[in-house]
Amino acid sequence: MSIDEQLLKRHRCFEHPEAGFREEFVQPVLGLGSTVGVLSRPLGEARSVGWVICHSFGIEQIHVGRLDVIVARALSAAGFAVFRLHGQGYGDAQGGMEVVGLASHLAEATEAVEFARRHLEVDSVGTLGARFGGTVAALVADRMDLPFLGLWEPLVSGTHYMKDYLRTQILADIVENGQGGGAADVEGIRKQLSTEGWADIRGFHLTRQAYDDIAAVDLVADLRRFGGTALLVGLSRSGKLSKSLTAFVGHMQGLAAACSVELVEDPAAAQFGQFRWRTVDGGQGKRDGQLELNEKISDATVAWARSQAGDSMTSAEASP
Amino acid sequence: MNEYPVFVPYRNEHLSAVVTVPDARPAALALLLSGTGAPRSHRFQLWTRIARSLAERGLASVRMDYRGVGDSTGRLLQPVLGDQRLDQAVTVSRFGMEAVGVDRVAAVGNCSGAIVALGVAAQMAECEAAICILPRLVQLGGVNRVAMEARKSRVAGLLRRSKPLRRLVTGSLHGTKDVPSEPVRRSFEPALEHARILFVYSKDDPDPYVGKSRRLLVQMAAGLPAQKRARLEMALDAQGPLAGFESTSTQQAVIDRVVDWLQDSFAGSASAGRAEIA
Repeated sequence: MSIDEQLLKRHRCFEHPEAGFREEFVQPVLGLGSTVGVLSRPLGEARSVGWVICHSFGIEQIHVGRLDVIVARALSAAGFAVFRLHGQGYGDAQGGMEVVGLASHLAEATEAVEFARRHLEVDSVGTLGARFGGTVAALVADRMDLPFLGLWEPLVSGTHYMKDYLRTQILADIVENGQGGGAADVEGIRKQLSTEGWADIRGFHLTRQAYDDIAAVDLVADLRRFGGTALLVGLSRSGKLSKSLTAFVGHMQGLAAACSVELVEDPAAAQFGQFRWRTVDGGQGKRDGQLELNEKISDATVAWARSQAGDSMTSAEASP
Repeated sequence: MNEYPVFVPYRNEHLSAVVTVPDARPAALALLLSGTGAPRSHRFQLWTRIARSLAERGLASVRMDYRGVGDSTGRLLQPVLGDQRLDQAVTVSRFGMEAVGVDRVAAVGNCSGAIVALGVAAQMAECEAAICILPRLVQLGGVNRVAMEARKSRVAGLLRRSKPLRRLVTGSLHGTKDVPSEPVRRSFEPALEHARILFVYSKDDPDPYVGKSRRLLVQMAAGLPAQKRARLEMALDAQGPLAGFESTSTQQAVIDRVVDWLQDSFAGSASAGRAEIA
């Protein structure tokens, strides 16, 4: 017996006639190595705009990863082609965690947009992303003058994000060992980053370069020329957009971007980006605490995309 | 080494998976199964790294997403052990075996994926080995279930701060009789009919299920005939907690153990470091 390459190749793609999309695995070289991505396409008429979904950072890539899949399929069912991928250091990518940083995320997202332009058969490409993925999507859209941008609770301040990120390690130490918890512990991790060049943050290999670069991000200052059409989905339990996102929206409007804001209220809003499986039935089962929130975000995104980026269809895809 | 991402048909859904194949003809296939919610590559690319290390030793592998997880289709709100995950795992395993042209297979899983791996070993006569990392084996009684539900409550916080109260309550919980959960009871002995099974735990996991599971495993082993008991092993890792694989040293230890043990299992030799259940 030998490897049945034909069988493996035949199963790289599938069609979902009821939902109206098809998907295909692709293995492009993005950044420092090869990786695995998925092209989602409509089975019916295709629109002229395609999308690249930028995933989040570190363990968040897993916690919000299903949102990327849900949105990609919903957009494809609505006529849009979508490309999602694993950046180096994530999922099935060739590279390991030690290469992950702001620079790798930005370079791979930029190359992903170029890949989408070549393979999605669309007139223009926009970017989408949740949390840090939204931050990357915004920076890439700004630098590449992309016409469309969709952000789901993006991170505006890298300093706050990295501070919270280090605190997760401190909290884990408290829970596991009953030790630590002070400002000195955060300082200890910073010192380790400085002296050793990396630190183990709950299993993730965080390099000093990644820490420094991400901490320096300030979307209000870093977004300089985006003049396209944007959607910002804010998540809330109380019905209010956070101060940082309110300031960011004001900044985008100042840049002459057409920015729509959609506030999604959900009890799980505060946990967005965190481990989402809640123990139920006395430890005998688990429930996805974020699935319904993901579906609300998806609905809002598809409705916006249809209204803002869905008018024209590509002529090539007018036939079945 | 080559990697092939695929969508495996499963009823009216498609399960996403990656088949990793060594350059030389593979000796066998390892099925890599995640716990609840984790995608096929697992946290920190753990299964991806294991797949590539296995390929360096001449073993193929397939890592998969259950229905509603990762790139698989389907909607999954509240998975339970009886929700066809075993059936999905067997389907992907058979696809992988056909694709890489082998008739020998092993299953590796963590947490609830470990229970599925045990089920694969029981259900597939071709399955020669299984590694079950941090599985919860016990079926909790009513008192324990209430205790598990209350772990994050204010009452639990009070108990944690008070040593006498803590001792009283944990003593009561330990006193209750533990029995294997239904999927474990169904698969444990049938798997040992033909497969070598390794259970991996850590002393450092704070979850009360871990101690209970280890004690139950020893009890279950004691009731086995000698031939089956000889196929059962338990390892106690000391690199830190296994839950979530939340340290880079734990990840490397898991990779080394899985790769070495599977290579040893398929080679058919006795392991020098084998830790049989006393």
